[in-house]
Amino acid sequence: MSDCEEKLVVEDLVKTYSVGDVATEVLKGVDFEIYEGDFAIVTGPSGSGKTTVLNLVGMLDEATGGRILIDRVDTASLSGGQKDKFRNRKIGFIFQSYNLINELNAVENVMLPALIARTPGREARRKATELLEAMGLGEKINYPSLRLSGGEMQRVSIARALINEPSLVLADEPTGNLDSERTKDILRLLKQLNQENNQTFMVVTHDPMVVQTASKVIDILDGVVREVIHKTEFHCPYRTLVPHPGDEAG
Amino acid sequence: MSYLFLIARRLLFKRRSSLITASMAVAAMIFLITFNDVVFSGVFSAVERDLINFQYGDIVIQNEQQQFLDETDSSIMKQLARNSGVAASAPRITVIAYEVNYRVGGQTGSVYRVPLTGVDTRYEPKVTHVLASVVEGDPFISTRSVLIGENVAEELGVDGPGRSIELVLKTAREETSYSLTVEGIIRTPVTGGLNDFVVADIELLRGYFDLGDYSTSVIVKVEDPRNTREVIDWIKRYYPDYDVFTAEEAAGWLAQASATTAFINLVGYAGMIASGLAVITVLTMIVSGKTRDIGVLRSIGVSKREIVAIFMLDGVLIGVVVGAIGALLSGSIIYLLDRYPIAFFGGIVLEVSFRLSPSFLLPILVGFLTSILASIYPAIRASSYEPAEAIKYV
Repeated sequence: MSDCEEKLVVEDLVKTYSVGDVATEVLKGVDFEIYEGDFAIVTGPSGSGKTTVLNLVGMLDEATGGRILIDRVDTASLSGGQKDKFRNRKIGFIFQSYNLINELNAVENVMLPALIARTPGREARRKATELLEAMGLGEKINYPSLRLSGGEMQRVSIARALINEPSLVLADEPTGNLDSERTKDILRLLKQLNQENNQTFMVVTHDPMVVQTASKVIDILDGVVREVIHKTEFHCPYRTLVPHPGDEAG
Repeated sequence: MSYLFLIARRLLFKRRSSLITASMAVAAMIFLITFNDVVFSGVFSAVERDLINFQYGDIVIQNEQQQFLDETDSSIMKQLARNSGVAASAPRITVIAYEVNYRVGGQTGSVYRVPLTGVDTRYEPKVTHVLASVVEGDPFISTRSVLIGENVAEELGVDGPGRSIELVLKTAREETSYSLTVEGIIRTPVTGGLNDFVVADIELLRGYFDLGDYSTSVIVKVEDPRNTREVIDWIKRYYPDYDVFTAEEAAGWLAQASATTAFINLVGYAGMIASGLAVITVLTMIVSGKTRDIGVLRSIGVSKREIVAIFMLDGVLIGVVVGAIGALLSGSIIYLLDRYPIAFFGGIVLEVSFRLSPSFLLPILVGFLTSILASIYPAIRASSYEPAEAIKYV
């Protein structure tokens, strides 16, 4: 499954939010790696900082400290425009609320990242149509987004995340708004994409059903990684983590 | 670029009813300004033209009390002839006739306080069209004949040239009557204003006042109307004690109307700016309503600059629609008035020509630019959203 190439390296990631004079340290030095082909789950209770990690990895937010390497590129070294391009070509996002553009139909939503990547319109539409067909939505490619069911919207959202063949797919509670049947469907689809295409996933969730599907579970509590669990027989070796003061004390 | 246009176009439909209202308001202002400029200005230009042609010439020289001028006509006209910008000049004596009577059979027609203008038939045709506006009879008046305006003729019951009328001039001390032949009946455009006048030979009035070569005003025709102001300044240098003004200034109401036109234009442009603010509000509401989508667009790689472009494109789209509607409304009315001329004020035919003049294009351009400018603030606001925060927005 894995050639142990590091897809994502997170080192000593710190994020502090300041409101007036009050500073809240949400991440206090998070370290982990995700390798190519991993289906990594970032889990933890509400408020633990897992979505903040996802936003920082996805360059939707700026870290206060630490480093994030995606495909060995330090994301902090990128300019604003480079980050936009990097996000467009290397990262795919799947959101809990699907976040489709309501004014666009299914295929237009999917082809949008390809158009942003300057893929010619006809080619973008062809790729989007193929993806939607592969996800069982071949008959609904021209459906307005709002007329799709929750499960269908999430499939469209997944197709949108994959159209530029990103290095890393970031999913934030992808099954959070779905019933158990739809959750199984979506998980099956994500796992299939992971296994057949060797697509790397980092999924933020606290849904136990999703956690079960992981190759790696990164458990975050109070802004630090509490535990990394490898659930497959084969896994790449741990990187040497920078010890935290608390760990040393422990 | 195509996807920016696709998104911009689709987002516009988000609040289309509010947007249509705001856009229509801008378009209505374009229409108001164009209509005001092209149509009303057309009316005022025509009125001014008639006043120049029949009443005042391009320039009027009077003394401040509107009494007789201190210099003789010949000296004033000689001085005026030295300016190459002056095409011609003519003296006038304008007074109010106390009474005009016409007797036919046993019946008498009378009109009172009639404006009476004495013209010099040698010079008047070089400055105005008064003598050319005779519609019945001849313009060849002498000290024994007059021309009367068609309204005067109607009130007196004069049915044509050749009739005799009695003209009564009265001062505090005495009353003088003249028996005069109606040489012709004049009809000027209503705005020219001579239909209620009696036009006599200037020598008749000079005889009455026993003043010789003097007049109450000298009217001037300029070679090039664009130089009227320069000629006025030149005249004022030689006659600083006289009032020297244009036909528009002579007819105070016309100057007022001109100011009204300018005011309506101002209202139109102010309305356009107000409507532009409405466009800003609607676009800002769209931006607020699409906060999450803006976050999503940023997450899939749309740059801040492209977010600005999306909402600026909305401004361009609104501007195009606004300009097109404004041009259509304004163009239609101008085309119709050009094709089917209508008369105002009981006679004046509005002269409107359908062409892409600055007064037609300027409001459209301003409306277009207003819409684009109105999109700047919402566009910048949209681009300022932090994607991580925007995505959470419900």
